[in-house]
Amino acid sequence: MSFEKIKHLLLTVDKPARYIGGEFNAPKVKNNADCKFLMCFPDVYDVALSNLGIKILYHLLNEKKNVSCEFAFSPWFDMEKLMRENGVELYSLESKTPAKQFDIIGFSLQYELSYTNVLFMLDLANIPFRASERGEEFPLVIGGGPCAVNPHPISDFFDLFLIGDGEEVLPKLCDEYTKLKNNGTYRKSDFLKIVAGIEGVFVTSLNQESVKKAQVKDLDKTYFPTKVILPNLEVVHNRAVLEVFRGCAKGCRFCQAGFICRPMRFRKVDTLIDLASRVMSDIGYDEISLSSLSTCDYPHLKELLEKLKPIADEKKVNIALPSTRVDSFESEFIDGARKSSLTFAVEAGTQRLRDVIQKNITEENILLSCKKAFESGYSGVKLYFMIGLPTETEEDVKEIISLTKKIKWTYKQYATNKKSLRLTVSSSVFVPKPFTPFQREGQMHLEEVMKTQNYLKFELRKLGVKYSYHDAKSSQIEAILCRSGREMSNVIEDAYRSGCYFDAWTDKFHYDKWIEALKKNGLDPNELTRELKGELPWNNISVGVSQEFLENEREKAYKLREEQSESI
Amino acid sequence: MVIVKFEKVNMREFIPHLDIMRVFNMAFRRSGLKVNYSEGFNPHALFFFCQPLPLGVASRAEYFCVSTSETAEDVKNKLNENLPKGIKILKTKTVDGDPNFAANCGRADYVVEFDEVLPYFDLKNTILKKDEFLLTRIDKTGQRKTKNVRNSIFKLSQNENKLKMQLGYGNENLRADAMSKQILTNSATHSMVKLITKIKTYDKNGVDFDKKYFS
Ligand code: SF4
Repeated sequence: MSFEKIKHLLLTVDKPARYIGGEFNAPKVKNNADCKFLMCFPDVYDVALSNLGIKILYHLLNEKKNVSCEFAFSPWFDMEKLMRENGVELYSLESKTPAKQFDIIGFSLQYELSYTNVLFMLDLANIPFRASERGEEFPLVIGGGPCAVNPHPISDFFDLFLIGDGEEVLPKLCDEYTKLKNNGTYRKSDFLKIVAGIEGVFVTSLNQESVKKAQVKDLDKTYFPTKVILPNLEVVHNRAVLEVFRGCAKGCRFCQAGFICRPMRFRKVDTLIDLASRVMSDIGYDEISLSSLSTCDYPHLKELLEKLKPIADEKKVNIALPSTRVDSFESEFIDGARKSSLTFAVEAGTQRLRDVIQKNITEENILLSCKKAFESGYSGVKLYFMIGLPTETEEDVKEIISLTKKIKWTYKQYATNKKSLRLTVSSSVFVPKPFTPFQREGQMHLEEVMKTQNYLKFELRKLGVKYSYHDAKSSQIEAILCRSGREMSNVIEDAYRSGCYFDAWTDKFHYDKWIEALKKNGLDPNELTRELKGELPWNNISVGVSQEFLENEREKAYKLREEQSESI
Repeated sequence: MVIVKFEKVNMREFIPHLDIMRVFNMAFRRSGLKVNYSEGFNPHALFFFCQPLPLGVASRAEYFCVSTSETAEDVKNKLNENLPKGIKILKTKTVDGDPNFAANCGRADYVVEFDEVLPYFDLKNTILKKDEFLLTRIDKTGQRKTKNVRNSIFKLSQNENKLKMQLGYGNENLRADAMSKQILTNSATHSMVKLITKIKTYDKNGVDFDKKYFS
């Protein structure tokens, strides 16, 4: 086994525990399974194992008798070097089997900047990048996750994509595979033709005219693992996670997750309590997080918390609620130590712009919440904004500063804590995403974004407020990658070959190389981030919200701008 | 209080000390064994570990003490059902107070395995009979630091391509990985260390922890 060759060299790399497998709760590998599935995440171990989706599917597949599912992630640079120097191919964590020997390799696509890492992993596995170059001797390479709603930019690298929820489709796919393999008639092309008929499956070589996303109808009855694999190392979110519901009805117009995960589907309180008790005893974390796109919108939240609290207390487990509203009852369920900081996704500086993007939060809300929180001892506030939203003006940016001032003033008035206020402002850059009302919008020009960031940096420093911002250049590449069509595959391959991977890691991102790769293919980044006219590349995919609805929403947004400017 | 002897083998030696502590913490929670918590703002479960081993050193003789009123038998059996492969409880015993392993450990035995057959090292004449053995390391600022570590070397022997050594552990600590490397360097041997396993822990007078605490 080739991994053995480098076992004693593992000390030369950072965090060797990423590469050794043997995690607690990892199911036994079934050596004689009919379908061997390699679940890949195109980033490092610590990031990968913070993702809930791959863990659900991993355990789901392993519960099937005839399927064995293992994990593989991107090795970090030092490990890559060690592997290449010793001729070690990408291997599975559990049994250290080379990736090539699996039947199906599945990639979870959570962010566009991980696309080059897909190529990186195929490269390390000695598997050709293009589906068209992979004969019968190579595994099927499939993709899924939120990015798959526009699969075209990376279509050339994949045999098929699963669009939508994976819990029902993925096992079906494995069953079809097993059936053909066991009666000796498996051929890639036949298999692909058959599964193209399954809802949610987009076969790249067939390029079907219309593909509907797959969707679990009854989340309450949908599988959720409680004996979840436990990372060898502290990972980004080291806690048990419970998925309370799927979808979000808030309809913020920039938010892709909100539109592609519709409709809202809930788990029942009793189901959640049962899952929670099992998760707590099967894993042993000291914190359990109630997760969803906006947990405070769970209609039975109060009941859930009331029932969960005593169970959690008994096991000395804290309950974590992402983005708690302090003015509501939930705060009393949250542990004291965690009460120190408030988070608001304000997104835009003025009410006008917040109305345009349909972000339901008012300045009054924010200040009132702050007042109450400060009175009860909070001393930290985090504000999140987005720069370059459609219709944004200077006024909108200036208002970010004045809101910050008002929060400072509120703290002076009402704080009961003797500590000084810790106020942080973070800004991301608006990225127009497929299947949102703003999908056709142009992205703010690079220089413009940087100008705004500099303005905020300067003004916030004067106020003594910490400011962090997302890199404008990588947001531009992200916008290009998420909205383009098939022509982008060449660019992505060129970028990878010139040394781009781990693009999501700010210090590993090479903007110049991306620009070169675009140029080489006759493409201009400014052109690609302009307003999109005409047919959209992802028109053959349907995620449940119609294009008419999205156009309508966009018009509504623009109307708001006009109405408000008239009234001024 | 219950004292525990455990082993950490089968690549678990690559898991850092902090994560090993987390493994035990969570194993206790899963197994439903109650552990006492410290008082104060940020309560934590009361575990008292020995001097942590360097990353990459396996062990068949690790010790810790835990503040709990569970029986020693339960701690052993229930924990073993809840630990990842490669980490195993070997012995447990109920004691009155924390024996403070960290302060009492003094020496440890290691077995070092190499990837190729080793030449014969004249350990007796080149090291054991001398008053001085210099260990060179590069410190954080990139400077070479040399130190006489002879007082931390208690026993050394070679068995084909294995070295057995007894070194200072805890106080006057001498890392087995650094020591092995120095021996290789001094003899200009190109083979590499394959695996280091700690096999015994002693107190300052050379009494085996097993004998001192578990009999
Ligand atoms: S930004 Fe949050 S609240 Fe708004 S639609 Fe998206 S998930 Fe829902």
